[in-house]
Amino acid sequence: MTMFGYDFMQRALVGAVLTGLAAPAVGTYLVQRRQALIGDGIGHVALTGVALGLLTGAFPVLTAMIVATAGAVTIEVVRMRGRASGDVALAMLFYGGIAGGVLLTGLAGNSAATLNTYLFGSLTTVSPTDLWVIAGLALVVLVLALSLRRQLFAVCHDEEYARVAGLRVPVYNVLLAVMAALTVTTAMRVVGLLLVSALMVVPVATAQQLTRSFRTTLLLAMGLGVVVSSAGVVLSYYVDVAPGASIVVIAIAGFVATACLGGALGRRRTTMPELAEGELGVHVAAHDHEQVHTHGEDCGHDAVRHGDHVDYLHEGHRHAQHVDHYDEH
Amino acid sequence: MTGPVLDVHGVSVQLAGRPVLSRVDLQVGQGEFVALLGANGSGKSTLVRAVVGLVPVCAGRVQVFGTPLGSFRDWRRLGYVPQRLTATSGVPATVTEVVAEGRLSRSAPFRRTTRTDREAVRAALEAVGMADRARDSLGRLSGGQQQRVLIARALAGRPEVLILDEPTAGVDVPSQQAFADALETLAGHGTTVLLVAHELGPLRPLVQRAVVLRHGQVVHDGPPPAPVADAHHVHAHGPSDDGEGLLS
Ligand SMILES: Nc1ncnc2c1ncn2[C@@H]1O[C@H](COP(=O)(O)OP(=O)(O)O)[C@@H](O)[C@H]1O
Ligand SMILES: [Mg+2]
Ligand SMILES: [Zn+2]
Ligand SMILES: [Zn+2]
Ligand SMILES: [Zn+2]
Ligand SMILES: [Zn+2]
Repeated sequence: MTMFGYDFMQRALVGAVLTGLAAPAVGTYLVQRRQALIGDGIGHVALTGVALGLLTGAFPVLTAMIVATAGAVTIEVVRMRGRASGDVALAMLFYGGIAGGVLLTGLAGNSAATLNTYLFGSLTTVSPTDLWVIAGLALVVLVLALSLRRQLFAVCHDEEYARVAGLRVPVYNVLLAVMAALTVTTAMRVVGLLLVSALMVVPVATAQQLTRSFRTTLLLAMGLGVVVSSAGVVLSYYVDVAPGASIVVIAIAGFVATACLGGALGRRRTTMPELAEGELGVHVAAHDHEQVHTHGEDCGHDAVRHGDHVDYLHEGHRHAQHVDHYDEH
Repeated sequence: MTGPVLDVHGVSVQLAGRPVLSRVDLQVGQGEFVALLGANGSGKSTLVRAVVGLVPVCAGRVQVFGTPLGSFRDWRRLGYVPQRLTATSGVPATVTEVVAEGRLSRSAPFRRTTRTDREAVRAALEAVGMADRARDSLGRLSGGQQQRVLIARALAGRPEVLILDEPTAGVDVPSQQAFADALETLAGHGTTVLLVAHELGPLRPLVQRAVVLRHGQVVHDGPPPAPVADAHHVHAHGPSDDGEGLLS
């Protein structure tokens, strides 16, 4: 019998594919707004939810979903308020989540082994009910991530502009937080709560080395997510380790390989260099040889940004346009 | 029957507990081209951010198209170019993707990009001379080119009033000229413009009225200050040497 003949392996693989699609889809937006680690925090909080389920005999995936969603929304509200004390509040939430989870699991009389299946994922414990919940949540997350792409992109790229464009930015912020919480819940059975964030971030980091648009980054990251999750499940079948670990190791190996490849190809940077504004010295009008030449994009002289204007490197010094002549800077 | 497009009345703003604007009045009428001038730190950005609702006002009122800002919903009528977005995003994005943000005020959630959206994006990129870079990654453009992309984003929504915060800072002179031409066309078609600038440069002929801020207060509201006296060479120009004392 091949490994695909086992019911538990089929469920683990389906779970891995769904998680591999959903986690990078949400992760792309989180990386876009430089919140790559937020999934980690939500994962910590979700552990308390798992423990509540174990303690009360309820369905741990469901309790985790509720607690993770509440935690994610709290995190987002703290972020939107922009309080200086926000960092400390988030730290309390994260570590409180993990400590509460361990405490409650102990009270429930569960072994560390049970807890481990939620922390690092497990092949054999994905029940049919788990799978239905995973599939439902993953579907919701994917539909939202893809059909609201333009709005979510705008909110994550330039929140202030999105507000002036009339988008209900707080609604999208909370929606994204809820999507992240649902993704964490989706991922926790296969990848585990401590490693879910890696699956949200690493495929995106790998994809963006190869892409130049947001759309292709999103789609490629989802493709990479499916590949590394399935490969990780297969690997952990053979070497008998928690699937979360093998998935993340494969994802990081993919990132390193892409980075090395990209480095070897030697991508050229064309962004204009920038001078420190402090270097703005006394302005002295330039000599006359500019009458025959107008500096501009592609005029043949290198441009550097200098404070609020552009200088052109010219025979060892810099020219800056000033009214009808060039200053030497 | 049409009142002013933008109406700022007695507005005061505090940031981090410090007064930044005090009792500022500013009106921009239908079809007007107004420049908002002043030295760095005089409160220009804060004023336009208050006008578009990004900064809370602690006294006075702001009305846009005759509606108090708090209940204004018709954001498609307003185009905004923020002062240079320094960092690009965490994930690559193409010029087209960023300019398409300007169409969101005319779209609804779950709606797909329409052909009208695509045409508006292309027209906006042509207006700023960036149509050939439409598929490039924003992070690969120069500062001036990125600034032009942000201008195109505001144009893509086909707004009735454009609010531009130092759109030509860091933009080289040929691009400034191209941008001035684009603004002239828009103004010719009746677009109202509020332009924040430090130096007007090639935009000067378009400006009908100038409002000058100093230390958060309006110190001039009328014809644009005379152009900088030019052609006097070998000048060491600090903040106040060449007729720009009003601005610096
Ligand atoms: N977010 C902020 N918090 C506190 N002070 C601010 C903030 N933004 C701007 N300021 C202050 O407000 C004043 C006006 O700034 P700004 O409106 O950006 O001026 P301008 O655009 O004319 O250069 C400056 O003194 C600046 O330091
Ligand atoms: Mg400013
Ligand atoms: Zn000069
Ligand atoms: Zn020279
Ligand atoms: Zn040149
Ligand atoms: Zn310079």
